[in-house]
Amino acid sequence: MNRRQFLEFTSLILAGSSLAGNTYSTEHQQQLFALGKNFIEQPANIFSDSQRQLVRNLVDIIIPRTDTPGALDAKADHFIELTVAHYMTAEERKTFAAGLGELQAVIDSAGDLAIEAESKALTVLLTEQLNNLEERHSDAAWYQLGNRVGNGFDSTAPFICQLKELTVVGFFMSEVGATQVLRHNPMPGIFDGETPLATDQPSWSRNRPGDLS
Amino acid sequence: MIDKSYDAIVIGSGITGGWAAKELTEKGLNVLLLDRSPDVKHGIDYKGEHVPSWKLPFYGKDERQLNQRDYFISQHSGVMDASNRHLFNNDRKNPYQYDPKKPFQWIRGGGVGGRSLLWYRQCYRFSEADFKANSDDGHGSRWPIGYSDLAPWYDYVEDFIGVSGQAEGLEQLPDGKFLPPMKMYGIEKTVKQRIEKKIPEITMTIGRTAVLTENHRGRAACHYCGPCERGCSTGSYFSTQSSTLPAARATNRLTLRPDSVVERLEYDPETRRVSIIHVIDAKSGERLEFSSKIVFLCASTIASTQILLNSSSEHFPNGMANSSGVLGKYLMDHTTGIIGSAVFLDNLDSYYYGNRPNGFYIPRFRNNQKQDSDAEFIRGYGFQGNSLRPHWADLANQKGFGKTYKDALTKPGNYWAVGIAGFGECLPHQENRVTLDATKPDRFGIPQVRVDMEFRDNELKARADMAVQAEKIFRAAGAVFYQTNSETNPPGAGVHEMGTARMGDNPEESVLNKWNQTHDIANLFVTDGSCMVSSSCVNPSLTYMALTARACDYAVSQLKKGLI
Repeated sequence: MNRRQFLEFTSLILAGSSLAGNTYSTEHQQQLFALGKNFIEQPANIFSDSQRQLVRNLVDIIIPRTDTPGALDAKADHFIELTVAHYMTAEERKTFAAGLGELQAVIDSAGDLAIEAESKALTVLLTEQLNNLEERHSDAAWYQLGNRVGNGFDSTAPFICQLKELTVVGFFMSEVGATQVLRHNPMPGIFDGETPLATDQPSWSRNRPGDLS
Repeated sequence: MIDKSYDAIVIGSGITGGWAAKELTEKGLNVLLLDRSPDVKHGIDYKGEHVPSWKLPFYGKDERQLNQRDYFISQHSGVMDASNRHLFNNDRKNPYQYDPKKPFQWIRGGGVGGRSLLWYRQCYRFSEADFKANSDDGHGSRWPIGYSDLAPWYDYVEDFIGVSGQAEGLEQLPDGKFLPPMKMYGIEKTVKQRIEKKIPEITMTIGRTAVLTENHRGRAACHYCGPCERGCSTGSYFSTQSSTLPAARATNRLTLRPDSVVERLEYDPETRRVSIIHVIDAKSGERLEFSSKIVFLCASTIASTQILLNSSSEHFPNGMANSSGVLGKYLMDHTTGIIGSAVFLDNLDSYYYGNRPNGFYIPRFRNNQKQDSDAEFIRGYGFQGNSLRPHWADLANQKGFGKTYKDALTKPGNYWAVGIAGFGECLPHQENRVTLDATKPDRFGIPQVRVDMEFRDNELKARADMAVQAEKIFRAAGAVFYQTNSETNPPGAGVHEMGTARMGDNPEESVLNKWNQTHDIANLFVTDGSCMVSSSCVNPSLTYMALTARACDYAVSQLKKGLI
């Protein structure tokens, strides 16, 4: 991938929501939210087909399907596309686009591997790349003790941290993640501050990412 | 021309306005309740109630661009998102002024019910020492009432609103009429037991909160869903909509008029009464005039002050009922912010069920009843805390991918964290003040308010002491790691603004008498936070409610005697 190809690859993302065609709808906000659609049913088309496929591969590596559903089951990839299109600032979007572009360049330069979209070889290659990125940015503020994924977003976060944060939020706040992976109880009826905790028990789902406990 | 006359007009429908409407209608008066904001109907307009995370835009992450454009102050509340944004003030449409070097966060409601729908619901009584503080140390003016004047009214409002809490028998934090207390987390019981043993002057108790722990007066006990600030159709926490408005409506003597911006009050020098309330309909722009025998100004501290300052006349050139010249001065708010957080490796086999809309409380223990010899500040502070067992959002910022990462994030983290926030008393300084900026009219042509406030030496010294004491508390509690911070949030962030139309026996240094009646005008009462003479360190809403009910009782008795 040369510089021109790189720029082409990232240009759609950099154009941002103004060129994204479908902007996320605020119409449903006029009604009761609980009766509205799931957020990820909103369309997004900021990614090219190859970018979309790459993001699918990445979220599947970060939170794979195990004996419980994974990030793809929760459509965390689509959550990321919506977020990149309509949530990120221009600077954040630039960081994300460049990060994605670098990974695509590595895949392209793998040459003979001629990687199939869902191939094992691709997973190995991307996992290695993610590990490299994490090492390269191991000093990012995002990793500091006491930081958490909250309601805000760290504008200085490198691509790898952006990707992890949005995958995690897109997974655990989704209907699939909240109800099939975490424990979901919207109407507990009582509060008990000292129930026994079994070692394999998942956490409760949360109302907002910023909620404590 | 007067569009309509009433026995009483109440301006503002938040915590105190709702109480005034209830009390005055129940005592037989026909009441017009005005609010500048759109109506919010109980239940129906809680559009975000019980919304699951996956239906919120961006799953509840802050919509930063919208917030920065329209809600750049409201967003500091920390509890606003798409589910309840319609309950908050739009800061672009309703601006106010302050020096950017001295930020003041005026966090406002944006609907009928005001901040009663959005408050954190903590309910604490002022103590006798709080009412005496100003006269004892000479800062600020003397309260015209003491604890015994207000105690029966605390009983009265607590009985109606329903306050859950634990009686502790403390002089600095009088007990109330409590519903059963909420439970503590296991870790909190551990912490409480350790600190009370090692630091005997400290008490740790469950928060006293206007959330029902059992069915109460036709309202259902809390179901512990969590985010009260989205509204509660079961009425399990006190709000205008859940409690005072239904009571007022039941009398058939209430007229609620939303979208009604009070521009100014008009004074009639012949009768020496407020004679006309000038209102602008926020939707149509139409100008209306209403009149009443008595007027209760309950628009919130800064808004009520704005209305009085904008109601100057030949008789009151510096603002209505401002012959003393203190109107707008002595603005206070509590210092607030996280003082410390600590990690515990106790109670790890203990988890929780349900979302507790409440925390724990450590009442004032510094300068308690007497000045501590090692304290470089006067007055005191309280700590409000909460506990958390880390979940995926607390654990995500670690390295790794794949099954191991997923498993680690799915289960609760292997520690408990306990955080405490400090609420510090603020001394009344006349330089902390609200004025009008005539050069900057708002969209209704009303001069914007300008807020000029900063925390000063005593507040900051108390803040520094909080960090020192928090460290002692964390050590005594057995924390394995802790950090402290003595910075305060900017003024306004406590959302306990008060003091700009203070009470007092001396008309030369106060706006209101001991009945919240203006010294200058017999039919004008102000019962929101602007009446406060000192701030104590406890959350003030309960005191505002008690003062309002007491003032209504007095006003109606005076009216019946023909004295108003």
